[in-house]
Amino acid sequence: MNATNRALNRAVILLVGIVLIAAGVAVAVAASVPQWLEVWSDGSARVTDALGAAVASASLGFSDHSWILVAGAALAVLAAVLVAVFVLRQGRGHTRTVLRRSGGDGEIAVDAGVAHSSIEGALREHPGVASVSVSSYRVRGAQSAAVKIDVGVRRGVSPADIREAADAVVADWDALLGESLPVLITVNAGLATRLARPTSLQTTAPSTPNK
Amino acid sequence: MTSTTTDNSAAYRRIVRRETHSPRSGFAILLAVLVLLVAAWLVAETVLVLVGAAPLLSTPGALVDGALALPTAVLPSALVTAGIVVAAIGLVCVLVAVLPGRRPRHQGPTGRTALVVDDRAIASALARRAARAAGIDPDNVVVTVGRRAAEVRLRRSSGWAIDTEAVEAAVAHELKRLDLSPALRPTVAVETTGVVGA
Repeated sequence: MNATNRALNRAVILLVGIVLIAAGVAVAVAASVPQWLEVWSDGSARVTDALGAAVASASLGFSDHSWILVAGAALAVLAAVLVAVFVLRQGRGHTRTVLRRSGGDGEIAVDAGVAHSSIEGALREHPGVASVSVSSYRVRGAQSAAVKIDVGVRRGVSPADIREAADAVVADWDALLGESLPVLITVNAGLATRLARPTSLQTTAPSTPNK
Repeated sequence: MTSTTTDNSAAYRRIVRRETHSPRSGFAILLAVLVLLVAAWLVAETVLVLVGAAPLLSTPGALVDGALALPTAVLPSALVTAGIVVAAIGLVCVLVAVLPGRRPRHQGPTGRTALVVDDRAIASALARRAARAAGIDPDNVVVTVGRRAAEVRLRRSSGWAIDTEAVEAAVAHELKRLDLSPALRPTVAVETTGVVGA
């Protein structure tokens, strides 16, 4: 639900994949056909000569190193910076304000912490809930922030029961806020679930355990 | 105070799609870090050459010479093997980029809120319902939840029969309550050999 640019992730992975396939196939095919291998080694020899001449004529002046070397390093720095920006842009989009409204008298902003603590506190009272965590995100296609309620359930608890409980909490929150923010509920059975004891509260089915 | 009803359906479609599909961040970051390490290493080697210090592994000049000498310096069979390995890694990257990247999660009905349920939570709930209907311990029920099918396998106590129809009804009832999409088709199987004390 964060602001990760998924299309960019796909594009980068696809680009790397295509480059690797092209390079790998080219090397494998060229090496397996003797004539092509000859063409490759001839080409390499010519490039070696040309590069040697270019390096010799492109002296830095103050040292005997070529500026081609420096240009190569500059390219590497540029690549490193681009890649670092790409990594740092993953997974952002959290917001600390769930709602902002301005009227004639001024502006009102509802802090995300208010939503988080009140929803978490209310849901924790449900016997089937092992863990709750609430977060808020900016979402495209919505005027306000979207709220995500992550619920870890105890063993065997129906996600439908959790949904009902969460919807009731959200209804209270809607009435308080006077606004219906988009709310996503996720029901997970994580580590907390496996460690938690199964609840004995289940009244919807007749119980005949023989143990 | 009454709440204003806003249409969140567009936002919900987007949010649910993002929750049920992987962003591929981990894989993208892995590739990016590898590129970053290589770039940083090249910069370091260049700086070492410029200040006249000893290289860490190899100087940039020696690297270029080595790459150009590949067809004559290395056995063709080694080149073919290396090419195939590189192309295979590339194929994995392309598959990761192109495949839908579905997570093991199902979407619940969208009402005032949207719901995404982890497959393990579904399996756990189905196991509880099946165990109650069969009158056995939940530890003796194994539920496998796939994208479109849920398989419930029960291990019965020796000498005790299991009311398969009751289990099927209980599982179907729970699935109907959950109203997942894609819908799960349930199958209930009782293991033919019972165990003592199950």
